Amino acid sequence: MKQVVEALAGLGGVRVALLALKDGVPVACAGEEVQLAEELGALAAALALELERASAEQSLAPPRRAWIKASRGCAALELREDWLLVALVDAGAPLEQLRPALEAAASRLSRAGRRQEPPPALPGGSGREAAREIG
Amino acid sequence: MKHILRRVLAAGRLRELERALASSPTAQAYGELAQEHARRGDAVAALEVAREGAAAHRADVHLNRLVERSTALVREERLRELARQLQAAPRDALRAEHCALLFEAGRVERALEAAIEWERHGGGAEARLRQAQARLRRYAEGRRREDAQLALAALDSAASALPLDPRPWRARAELAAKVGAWAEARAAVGRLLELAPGDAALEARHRTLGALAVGSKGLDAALREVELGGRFSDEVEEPAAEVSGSNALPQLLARAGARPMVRAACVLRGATALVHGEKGASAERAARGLRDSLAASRAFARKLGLGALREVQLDHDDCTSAYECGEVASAALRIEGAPSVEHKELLRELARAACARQERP
Repeated sequence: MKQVVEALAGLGGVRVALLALKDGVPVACAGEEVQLAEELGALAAALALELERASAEQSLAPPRRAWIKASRGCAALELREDWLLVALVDAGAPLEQLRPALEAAASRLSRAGRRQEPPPALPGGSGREAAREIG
Repeated sequence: MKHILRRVLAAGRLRELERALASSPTAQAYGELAQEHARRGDAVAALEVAREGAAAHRADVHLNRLVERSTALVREERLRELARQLQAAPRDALRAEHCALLFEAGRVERALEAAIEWERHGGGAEARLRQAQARLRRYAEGRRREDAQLALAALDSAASALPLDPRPWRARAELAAKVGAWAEARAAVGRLLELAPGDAALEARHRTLGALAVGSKGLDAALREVELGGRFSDEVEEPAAEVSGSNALPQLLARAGARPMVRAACVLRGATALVHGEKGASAERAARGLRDSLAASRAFARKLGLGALREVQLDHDDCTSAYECGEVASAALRIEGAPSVEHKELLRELARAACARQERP
């Protein structure tokens, strides 16, 4: 996870890249402004919640990606059920490289997440119960 | 082995494209060769080819865009290299180039931080000049009096350290003229004339400013006025003619909604929302959703110090919501799939129309 976030932070213009849980708790952070991790995680989680709520109101699926462009910079967010990936980018930095990199990072994280999921449900029980039994 | 084979094939492809360009130097051939260089990671070669192509085919939009992108890539490469060099062995020339490149790339905040850092390490007047330059750009964007005052302080300090340098006075004259403090601008041009006596352009400017300076406001009052009104002296109010008719905006909205792939179009100004593509309760929900998404995005950008919100794009599973935010109004399109250049242009047009004054002639 750290490697994925570091690769993202290495792109031109990216000030900070953060992987956080859906509630905003930082998991991995890289870049020049790592001190922003907690604040960024909390703000991104609040934003994700608001965007999901607003989308539900319009009968739309929750957004999977959000680009917020402002006069002094841009934020790119990958929003998934369990985690958030955020990159803060300087104004004027080229965004062409960021989009594919962000998508690639999100798929790597999704694949890693799937590998860590509990085994499928056994007949007559949930996956979590099965995992507990096995554990 | 696979890697070597790929490199050999790529080199072959490059030669093939160069031969194609030599036999027929079309815009497409230039574009393909530049893109191949970029794919191989050679941004400098890509820029050279794109520049040559753009010079030969001036009207070609694709080649001009390639020049811009290759320039940005080359700049980013140099910035990365500079960051490494500055860590290893920092020196003034590298810091100056670093600031200049960041400024050129439009990364004003980073340029300002770099200039402050440079001053902290003994950059002196040059570092203060770069700070002033970045703060002036920030002032032009945000129009906050504080930015202008900090820039002026940096310019004063640079001017006293570099008494024969015209740059601080030129910047001061430009700022004063921009905000309509004509007497201040005239005084700054006067100092420039002392440094370059007999300069015809400066003399003409001095005369013009002299006529305007009579009874003009002071610099501080002018800065306060710009902060309150949001307009520089050379900016006139946007003409209302384009959309002044009461039906112009709804017509534009209907036209936007009728475009292929567009599911809904919406404009938001104050407490009023105009929605096309949804009716009744769905329209109300769409307007509420747009307002909430924008409010959340605006708060997010503000709290992170990203400045004024310009654009938002939300990618859902089956559609995309794209928002364009103006100073007083916003526009949104819900599009099937990813938004095209045409969609973005349409959205900008909608936001411009919504921001324009809606007074009857």
